[in-house]
Amino acid sequence: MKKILIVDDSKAMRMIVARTLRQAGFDGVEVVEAGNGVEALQVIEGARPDLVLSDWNMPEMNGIELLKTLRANNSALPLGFVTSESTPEMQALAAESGALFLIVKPFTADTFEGALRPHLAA
Amino acid sequence: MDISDDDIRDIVSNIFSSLLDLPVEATASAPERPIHSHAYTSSVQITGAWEGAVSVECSEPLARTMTEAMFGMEKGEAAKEEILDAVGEVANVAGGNVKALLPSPAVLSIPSVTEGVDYVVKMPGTTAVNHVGFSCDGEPLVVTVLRRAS
Repeated sequence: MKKILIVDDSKAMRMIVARTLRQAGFDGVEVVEAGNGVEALQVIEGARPDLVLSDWNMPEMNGIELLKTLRANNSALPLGFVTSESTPEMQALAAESGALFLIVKPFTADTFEGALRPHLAA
Repeated sequence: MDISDDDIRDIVSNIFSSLLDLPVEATASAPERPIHSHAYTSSVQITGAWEGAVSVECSEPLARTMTEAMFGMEKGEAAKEEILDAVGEVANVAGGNVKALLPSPAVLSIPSVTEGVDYVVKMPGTTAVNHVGFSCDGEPLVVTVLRRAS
């Protein structure tokens, strides 16, 4: 069973992301959660997720800092952003830092299906 | 450069249809304050190439309805902490979408939420450039975009 870590400082948004995963057909995945980048690093060490879906704007450690920390530690763990913000600068920074995709809130199940399917096959 | 009232109507419509699955309609004008005897106001600040704030104000019954929709709860189940979280996230998404239409680079703050019976929210040095009203099952919601004088 694939395991997905949802990182967002809003519990409501974590629930919406988890619900949207089910609506997008990923109802067989196990979901684990974290409220910011610092918590995410701890969860990653213990739970070993296959994919991370992270908000960008969070207290303590934001999403791009989380991604850069992972890559600095030689982790190739796949990470995609689910964020309310999307500017060309953010998209470029996400891509050059190694993010898989950037989904903008509000999103639909179709958006999730298209973005995640290539990375959750098999 | 600012954004139009129609941009705000599109953003709020998308939030209600995609995230909340609740009906919403724009009203001809925004209601006068106080919009309800018990209300919530959530705000995010934008700093950088464009400076200001995006504020979302709604009645307590609508805050509760939005929370129950976001959490998938039964009516009456939402606790205060969950309402504060949900209302803040609506402002966060609205603010992020507004920011995308404004000059960059800019930074979006973490949302702050005010709740109460009779309160005033002041953001010194700003001017309201948009003030757009909505109704969800008869309950009011107002989105205000404030620009800081350069």
